[in-house]
Amino acid sequence: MSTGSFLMDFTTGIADRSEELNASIESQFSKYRSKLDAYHDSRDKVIKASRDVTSSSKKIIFSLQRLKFTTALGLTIPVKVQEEITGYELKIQHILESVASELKDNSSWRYHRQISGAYQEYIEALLFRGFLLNGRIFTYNEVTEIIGKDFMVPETDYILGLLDTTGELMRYAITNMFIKSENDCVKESKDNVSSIALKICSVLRLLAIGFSSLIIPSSSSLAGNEFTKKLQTLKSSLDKVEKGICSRVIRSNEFVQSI
Amino acid sequence: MISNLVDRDLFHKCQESIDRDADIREHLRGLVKDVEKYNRQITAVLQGAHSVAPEKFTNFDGESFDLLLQQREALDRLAETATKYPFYKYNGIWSRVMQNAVFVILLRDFIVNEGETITSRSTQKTIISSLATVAKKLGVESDDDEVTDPNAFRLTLDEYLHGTISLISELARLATNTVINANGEYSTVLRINLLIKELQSGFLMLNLKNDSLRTRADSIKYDIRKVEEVIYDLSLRKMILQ
Repeated sequence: MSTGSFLMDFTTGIADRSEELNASIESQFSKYRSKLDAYHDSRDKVIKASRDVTSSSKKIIFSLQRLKFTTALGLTIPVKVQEEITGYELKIQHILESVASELKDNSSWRYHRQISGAYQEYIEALLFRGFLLNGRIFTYNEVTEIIGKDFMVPETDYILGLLDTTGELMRYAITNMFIKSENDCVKESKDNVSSIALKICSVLRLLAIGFSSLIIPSSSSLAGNEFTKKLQTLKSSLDKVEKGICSRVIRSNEFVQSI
Repeated sequence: MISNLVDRDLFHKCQESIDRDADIREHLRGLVKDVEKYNRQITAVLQGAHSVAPEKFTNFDGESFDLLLQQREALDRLAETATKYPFYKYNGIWSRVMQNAVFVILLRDFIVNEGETITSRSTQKTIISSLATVAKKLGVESDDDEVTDPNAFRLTLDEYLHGTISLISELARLATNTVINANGEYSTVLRINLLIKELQSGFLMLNLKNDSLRTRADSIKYDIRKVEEVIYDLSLRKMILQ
């Protein structure tokens, strides 16, 4: 880069007053106003979409929480509930499509802060359902495949969403701690503790160990309170599940079988 | 069964992605520091304008120009790395330094132009460089241009507006000091007055939301008042013709 070209950019700037005078402050700021308005309009659109996606995701989670665990192999979801959940999912995809131009390709990071919470909540719903139905935690790739590869969902949203999922798994384990019916095979459960509770306990343990082992440098975007707090919450969720199972084991003889 | 619950590579991949991201940020921060160095040096040079009479303003041309050249090179290095990544992913890292770069360009423009105006006894109106012009002087693209590469490093409108507000503050202070330093020649104050009033009406045109830009724009009226008071005092004593 030569001094000459630099000089030219400068003298063109200072000396060419006529061009500047035509672009008066008023006309300049009028252009700026249009740009700012467009930006704020898009941003508001994304915020609204984020709220809607979050609320639908929460509804999916609530629907799943209401399901009783009845078999050892996995959850079978009653048709009515499945339809409900599918309805919410379609709604979410629809909402995301409506802000696609703000969230895909070129703009993809611009409004990320506004949509990140919604992504995390949706991932939470997907991971929760995935675990109940398939007995495992879906990977980042699987989850982004469902959302749509066009939407830029960074790994941090997956990590934070996964941490939130552990809270839901804990709640489900506590609610479904005991065997509800004879269908839960005796060999899969232990001392009348349901297999799902045991499974959730194992997975929470694995996740707690794994996330605790991560080293977050201070320059990382994950550095800060959010990750630390969620990790803390995971550990206390694990604690609750372990305590619940332990007390169930200890008292397994005291409980009436029909409960 | 244990390994079926969670992808065995999950945490390994997480750590990798965290490290990669942190490395990029570190690298960018380092490049930003280099630009910041020149921001500060140029600002220091220009601060000299508060101590001399306006007719000497043209003295600041040379040294500040050399520093600007170096700042531009530092910006080129930053841009070269930044362009590899999605623009809005990391732009928070350099936004402060870009605001300062805008400020420094606008301030220098004003000082040098004002010096020329006085020595040539011209009656030309004071102007302010637009977003596109400032970007050009910094050697980068701007929000104004039709963006060919969406990840291209560029000066954003927000950065430009923040830089402009900083300029207004600085000019208000400069106005009071030119009265101190001037040898009976107070026209600089009048020109500053006109310019910042025009800028204020520009800002009033914008539909701002409750963000940092709004808060800073709200402070413009105090700078305006400061300059108006100086002019009032001068005109009261017939030291200046309005």
